[in-house]
Amino acid sequence: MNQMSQLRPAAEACPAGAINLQFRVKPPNEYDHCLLRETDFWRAVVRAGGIGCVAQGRKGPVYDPARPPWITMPSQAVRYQKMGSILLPAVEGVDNLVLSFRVPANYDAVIRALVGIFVPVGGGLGLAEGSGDLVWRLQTNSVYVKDYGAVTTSLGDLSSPHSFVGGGIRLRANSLVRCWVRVGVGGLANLDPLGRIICIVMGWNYPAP
Amino acid sequence: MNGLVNIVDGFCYDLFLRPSPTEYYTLAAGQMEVFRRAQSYRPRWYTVPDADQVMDLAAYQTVEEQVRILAGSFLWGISASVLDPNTLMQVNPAARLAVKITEGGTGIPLTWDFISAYQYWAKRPYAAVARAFPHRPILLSQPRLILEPGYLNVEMANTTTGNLIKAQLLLLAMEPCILIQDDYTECHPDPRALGRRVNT
Repeated sequence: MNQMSQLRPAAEACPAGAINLQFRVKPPNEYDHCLLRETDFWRAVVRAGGIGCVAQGRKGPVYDPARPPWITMPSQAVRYQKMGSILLPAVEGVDNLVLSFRVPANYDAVIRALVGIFVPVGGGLGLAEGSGDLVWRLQTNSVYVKDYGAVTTSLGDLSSPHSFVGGGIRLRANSLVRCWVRVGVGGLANLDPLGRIICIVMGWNYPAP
Repeated sequence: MNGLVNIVDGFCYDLFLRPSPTEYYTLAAGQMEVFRRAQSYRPRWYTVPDADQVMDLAAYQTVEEQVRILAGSFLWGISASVLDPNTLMQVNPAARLAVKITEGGTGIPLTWDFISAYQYWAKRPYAAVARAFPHRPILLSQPRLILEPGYLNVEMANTTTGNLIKAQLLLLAMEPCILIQDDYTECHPDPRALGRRVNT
């Protein structure tokens, strides 16, 4: 007996008139073949390098896939280094905007490094790392960057910025980048009231592919 | 008559789904007619997170999860829900949750950037006046094919400024059934015992 015919009793075991959807034995129909053809078509497109390699209409520059522009700065890229600083806020528990900028139109961008430090003036009290007296937040559009939504330690310093592991944070054109600082509860008593908070965000813009 | 067999599935039991040429949902369901008539694809729902019922997202937090999907599947619907941490009742996800889904194999995102989960909200009634409306997943205008290696990167972000939220995302897909060959059935004469689906 054919092996396949041995599987038939699976359907026959159902009560009369019932359809066992878990162990159905219906053969593929023309709609299945239609979907499988589309699947094969897109597999061929991916093998050819993606839709951008097989379709017309590309407007932006073509980057070497082995050197993506968010990893290696291309020759068309424009470096940026945005800086901002504020005096230590007088109110606790409120987010204070230190730095804000927008990625220019037609450019994508990558944030490669940032600095977030508190600088006491005249030998005043500095920041105890991890105490929560100051909390830094890096926001892109309406979302806080993963793992950088509530940072309680300093990020780098003026001579050696804090680099992101595994490349950087990719941004699309017109994205809004904001750096916030909040003084934690009791923070004002621990920090130099004349100290300054400094944020620096650096990276490059590159023509959108 | 065109000789086609009538489709009987869950959409047919939605009394509010009327064959109107001006309603997106009706047209999107019609766009899926090939799937509804195909016999070698089965529905498969994926939840994010997959380990717990809901994901706790603290204020300012963004998390990323990876969902394994059988290559060759079609993603056809998405549904997002956000629960109030105190009452565990559904709340409007607008201004609370943002979602970004990226196909892991190609790196192509489903959306350009994070979008408010309100766009994926099935509008499960949280107000008495809305209880008359059914719970529908959001249908993609065209089902999205997921190719090898078959995974989606899902990023979920709490966009509030001080509130914990509980969130869950539901990804609705159609996956191709496994075609069991003769050599397989010789080793396993009764695949039903293995819980496998069978096509002949």
